[in-house]
Amino acid sequence: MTSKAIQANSVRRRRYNRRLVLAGAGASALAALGVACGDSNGPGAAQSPSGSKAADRKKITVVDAFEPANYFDAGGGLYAIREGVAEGLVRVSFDTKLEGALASQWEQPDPTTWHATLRQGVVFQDGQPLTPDIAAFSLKRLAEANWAPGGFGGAQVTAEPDGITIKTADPVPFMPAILADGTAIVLTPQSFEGDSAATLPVGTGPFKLTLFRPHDHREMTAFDGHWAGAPGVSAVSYLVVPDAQTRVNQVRTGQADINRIVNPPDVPTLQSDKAVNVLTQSLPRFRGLFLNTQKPPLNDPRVRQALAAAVDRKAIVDSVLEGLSEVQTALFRQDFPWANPAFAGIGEDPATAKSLLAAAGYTDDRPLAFELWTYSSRPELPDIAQVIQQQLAAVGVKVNVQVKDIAVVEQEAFAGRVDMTLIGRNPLFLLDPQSFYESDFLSTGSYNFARYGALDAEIKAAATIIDTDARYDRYRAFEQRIINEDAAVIVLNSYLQIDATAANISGYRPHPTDAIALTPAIAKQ
Amino acid sequence: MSLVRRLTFDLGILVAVLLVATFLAFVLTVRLPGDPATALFRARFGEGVPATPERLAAIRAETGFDKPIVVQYTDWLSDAVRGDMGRSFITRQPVFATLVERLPATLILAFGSLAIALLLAIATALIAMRSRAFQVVILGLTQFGISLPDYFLALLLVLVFAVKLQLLPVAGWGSAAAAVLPMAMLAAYPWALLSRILITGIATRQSQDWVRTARAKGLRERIVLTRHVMPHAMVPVISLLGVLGGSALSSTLIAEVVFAIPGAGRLLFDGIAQRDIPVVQAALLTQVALAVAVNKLAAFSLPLVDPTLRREAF
Repeated sequence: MTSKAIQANSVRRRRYNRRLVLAGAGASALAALGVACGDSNGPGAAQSPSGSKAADRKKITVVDAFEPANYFDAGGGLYAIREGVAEGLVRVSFDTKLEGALASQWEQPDPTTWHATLRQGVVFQDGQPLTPDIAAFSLKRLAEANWAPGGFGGAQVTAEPDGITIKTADPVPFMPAILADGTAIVLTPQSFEGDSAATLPVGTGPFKLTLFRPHDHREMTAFDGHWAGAPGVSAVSYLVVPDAQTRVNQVRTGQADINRIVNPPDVPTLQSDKAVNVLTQSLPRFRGLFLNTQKPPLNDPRVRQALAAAVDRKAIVDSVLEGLSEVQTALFRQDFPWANPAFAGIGEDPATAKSLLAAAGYTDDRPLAFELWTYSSRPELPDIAQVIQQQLAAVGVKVNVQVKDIAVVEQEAFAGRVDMTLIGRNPLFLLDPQSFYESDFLSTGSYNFARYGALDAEIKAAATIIDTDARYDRYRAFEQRIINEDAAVIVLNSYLQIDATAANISGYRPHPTDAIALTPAIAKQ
Repeated sequence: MSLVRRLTFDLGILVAVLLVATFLAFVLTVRLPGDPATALFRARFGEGVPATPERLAAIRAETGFDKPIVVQYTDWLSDAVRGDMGRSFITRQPVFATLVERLPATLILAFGSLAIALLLAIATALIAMRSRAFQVVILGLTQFGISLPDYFLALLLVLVFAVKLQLLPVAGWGSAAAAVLPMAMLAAYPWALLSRILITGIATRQSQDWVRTARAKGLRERIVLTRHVMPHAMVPVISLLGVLGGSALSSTLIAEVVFAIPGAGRLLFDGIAQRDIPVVQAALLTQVALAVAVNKLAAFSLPLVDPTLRREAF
């Protein structure tokens, strides 16, 4: 079933289209067998290579644009999980659900307590068994770190005979999502001894890190003692290749087996190459225009709604993204459990846009003019800004586009000096919407481009709702309010992860949240 | 001026240049538009960890961004003069060790490509002297080499020799084959420039009295060209080599990015983007020291090829 899923997600020698994305998403959903809160063999076992003998296994080369600063900090854990070096108690499955990794199950005995039972028979890459003490050690370290996810800072973590218990000051209903986050990886205590720059982390993942050279490459060998089975490849050479065209050429010539992050313009070339498979996957990350809700005249919701109605999302996808994206109006993809299936955002309607502007007092005699800021480290954003500029001009709104460094955009936008900001935003670093609403829509939020603050009490209250369905209902209401009534952000489209593999690679597929890249299932013929 | 005094003077100039350059780099890196603590935080933690005021304050305290810039600089300088270049703000790796690890690739690329360019330029100039037709063709080719953007040339070379013919690797480092395309790309511009200078230099010296005398003595044209004309024509070439070689870290950057070579140029570039001050400072120190050293080497080499300069050399 897995190979069919991968084939369904493959667009080799075919023009990518929307049906393929849907087919890929559907196949991914069918392929995964994880359960939301219990034991699962997960992607490793579901895709385990069928009877690859150790002697037959080959080394693969992966090329990627991104790299961790190290594997220890908050940002590094994400890479450790993605590259199969380390694992947390919980992980995000290939059907975007939380499933057991190092924990076989978890429960919430009371509102401020979580208990996780450890999976039996797990060993670290250095041979020592995973014990409750070691799991507690890693999580205590996180609880004391200043980059602990919201709700986990200051948590009391204790080792129990069968697992660990986490006690928090306030209820944290989304604790399993935190335990799946990169910050919550479990490493051996020895990983933290000595010079962190010279020490290689030892985790439980299917690949053991043997070399880490920042800005260059890392080497890994297969860890045959992995609880889900031995990997289908003997080793991985993971290279940092910043130039997208170089990565494309490497996979075309067989010098790389997996190319992560293909630029849309390179897709036709790769599709025409019989030696290469192109794989796509919609990600939670979206491109959106955040409107400064505090700055006149954007503090008038009618003006913001008018701008939302003036934007033609499909034209942006077709013209700038070459069709390699999905039009999106909601903050979250519809396949997430907190999404509202009936949600309809403000669609393109220039007549409504003009009448809203007129109602707000802005006509051809009194036109509006705004500054739109964006950045070029995501290269498509300045082009999208130009299209938006033309679309808003059609309803009489003048837009001056400014392309700056991301650090400048953030500084100025958070200080309230920017009218509108076009950014790429991943709302699901944690597989739960709470942290996204807190960072982006609380008035004190650290990523509040919209300078939004109308739902402060409600968002804070949602964090403590134990009943999951009731909590998700709140999120649906927030989305309706933020997108439609307050029009604080105009969501434009979703990001599409495009990867390419050599035709003799099997078992690789992009993950729906990009949480996992290297699994034991990958094999090279 | 005696040799000792000359060297002392040069050393003094070098120290002054290093101080000014590192201070300016420090100020510019910290004062780039945008909050340096936020840029550093993003480089270290990514977008997934909220950059709360408390976390940014911790970054500022750790890096010294919360101190006046002069204090930050003098702190760095006092460590640097004791040989402690610090650790990268991002990777926490010792900067000196990282630089030592990555400098060889950059130096091989920079000086290897210059050596190839020089040899090819001499050969090209000698061929050009054979006939007017050769000169026209070669001037056309060198015009191509001068005007072709590096990045475009790199893609062209990769497409032909790595993708189509599959003779050479697309990217990477560590083998002679992997070095061919980046060296070819880097050699193209200096080859074209040096060839033109040499051709012009030879042409203008052909009519000099001492050349006529050499010919009148009955020397063969090849001897006249290689022994009497070429050394004089090499003077501006050597000066230019000093300038080109001195900018190794910046000149190899595109090759390091396109061919995924772990060199010092990329280290400097990434360091500036991420406000990784210790890395920027160490790379810049190396760049300035290299520039001064190569320029001095060029200056000392001139009298070796042009006897008329020997009396003034020291």
